[in-house]
Amino acid sequence: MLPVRPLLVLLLTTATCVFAQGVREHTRPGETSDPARLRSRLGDNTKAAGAAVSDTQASDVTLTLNAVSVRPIQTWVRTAGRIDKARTVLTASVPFPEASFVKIGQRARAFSPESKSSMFQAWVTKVTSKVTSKEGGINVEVTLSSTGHPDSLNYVIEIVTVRGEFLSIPNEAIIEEGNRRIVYVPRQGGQYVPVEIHTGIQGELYTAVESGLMEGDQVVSFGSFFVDSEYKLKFGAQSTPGNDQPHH
Amino acid sequence: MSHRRFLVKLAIVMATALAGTATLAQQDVKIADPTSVVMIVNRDSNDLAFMDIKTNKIIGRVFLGNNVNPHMVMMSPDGRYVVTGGTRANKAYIVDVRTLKLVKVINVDIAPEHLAFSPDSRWYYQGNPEGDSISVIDMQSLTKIKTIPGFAEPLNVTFTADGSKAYIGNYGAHWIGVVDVRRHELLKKIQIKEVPGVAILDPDKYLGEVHGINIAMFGPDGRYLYAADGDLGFVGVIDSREDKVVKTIKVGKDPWRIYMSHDGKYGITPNNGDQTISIIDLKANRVAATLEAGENMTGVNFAAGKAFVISSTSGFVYVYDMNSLRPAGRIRIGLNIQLETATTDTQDQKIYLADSTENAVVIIDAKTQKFEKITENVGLFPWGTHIMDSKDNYCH
Repeated sequence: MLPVRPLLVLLLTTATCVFAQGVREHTRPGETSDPARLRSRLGDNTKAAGAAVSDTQASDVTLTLNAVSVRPIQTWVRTAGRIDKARTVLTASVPFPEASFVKIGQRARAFSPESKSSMFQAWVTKVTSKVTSKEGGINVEVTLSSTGHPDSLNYVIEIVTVRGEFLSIPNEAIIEEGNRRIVYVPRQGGQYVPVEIHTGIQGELYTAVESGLMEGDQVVSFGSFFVDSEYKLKFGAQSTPGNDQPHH
Repeated sequence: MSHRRFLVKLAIVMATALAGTATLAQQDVKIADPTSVVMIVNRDSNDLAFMDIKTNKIIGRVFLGNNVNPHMVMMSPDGRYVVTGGTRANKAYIVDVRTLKLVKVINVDIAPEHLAFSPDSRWYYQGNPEGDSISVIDMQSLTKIKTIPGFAEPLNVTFTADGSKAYIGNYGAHWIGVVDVRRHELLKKIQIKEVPGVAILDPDKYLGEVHGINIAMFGPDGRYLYAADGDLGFVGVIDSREDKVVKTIKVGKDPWRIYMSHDGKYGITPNNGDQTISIIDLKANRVAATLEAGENMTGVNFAAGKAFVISSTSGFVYVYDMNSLRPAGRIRIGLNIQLETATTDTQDQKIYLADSTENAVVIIDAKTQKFEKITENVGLFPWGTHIMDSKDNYCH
């Protein structure tokens, strides 16, 4: 026969302990959002630790990591053009600096404001420089792959220019702080630290990275503002790669 | 001097290395121009085939895995990726267009079928009809960032031109879901017409399998959406500024969905309940013509001033003159075959029709109405076709 009553008491005590432990986890002294107190409690060696993000927080903010890799960067040059009588060729002008990206043979997409939902595939078929204009730029002819709408004279044109292949990251990953460009990179144990980078050309979705990151590194895109605010909460008054300006 | 010589040598070494890399990269490129191919999604060979538009030869193939059963294929507007949902695998597949390499497989919800890209290529919305959800895939990180629940057999997704909202057709219900693309949340449900009380209805029809809304499709101005409800036999006109139904148009029985003519004048609903098509004048928002058609219609394509209506099980494609709004004959593709869906080239000249039981793609010349069957190396049970920027990219 098992001693039932002592066993029950033991089980209840254990359960109470587990529960109490859980409560203490969340209410223990020092669990504070005050950055000064945090720094004081965590000590100097936390400077390099970065902002910690729990799995739940990461899930809530859909924290997303992107690899730093070499990708083609596209710039979509947008302009407006007028269609010819045959309803196949659009003529438009493109100012500098976008004009320098446009070349014959590039793919384009065009739609009329009267028919936004109907996209035409098109190609750049002629490029001439605007010598008479003060601001410069180019005139382009874009040929539609099929006949345009009968009632539409004007079209919005998007010329897809590929600027080349660059080591790049999503635009969204970059936090602009004055003239600085900061990204957050993961470290061990759910820590994220800011890294200052130097950027090159910015495309539709990606920006070239000139320095600060290596191919294969990971950066935070979604949730970077959350990580940034967490970081500043903890290390707000301290010198960080992205935030070492004196505060007044 | 020696320092300068060292730098020159270093530059030569680096240039040679870079040249080597470039050559390798060029060798890896299978498709340099994303507009040059027809994509074919093969249900039973579990792959995507890429056919050169000029030569009609299969120039590449991507095997997705065993028992994947891909359903619909689509290229991102920026031409970087081709994606498909594996209905049996409950996964989304992302293929790099240039190299034709399967770069990512992502778990989604149950039985993924139809999908769409946001206009900026950023978001890939994958509908999961059996999971009653939409999986949101971030095309920058190639990760699923969210699953939007609360739908009822969601089929097609339509983004607004500015990418701010997406409209989801629920075939298992009588409403369209409006999704805020910034937050990826279901904002609103739009019912196109009140569903009659079940007491006065045929219970088998209304309490059995629902034929709801397949898709909400934009009219020419990009403001008004048109959505057909199968059970109700109506097309609702929705003002996307207020997300309200402004008009309903009675069409034939059990309309499958609406298809828009390329000139923006008409919308066509194939009505499988009475084997007719309703041609809707989009300016007047009324039915301009009701014409006889075939059985089990799965798609409508527009080319050369005509509409081509696919009758899946009869083996016929019905043709209508879109100027006179009269029948213009029918094309017999074959006997005892099953036709699926088709895409139209961007010149509006040729239609590429998936002929599943013959493992073929049928290329119809829209002007002459003659056709050619491509059977060599297409794949098993082609389910659909897709051409970048085609105005007739759809699935069933």
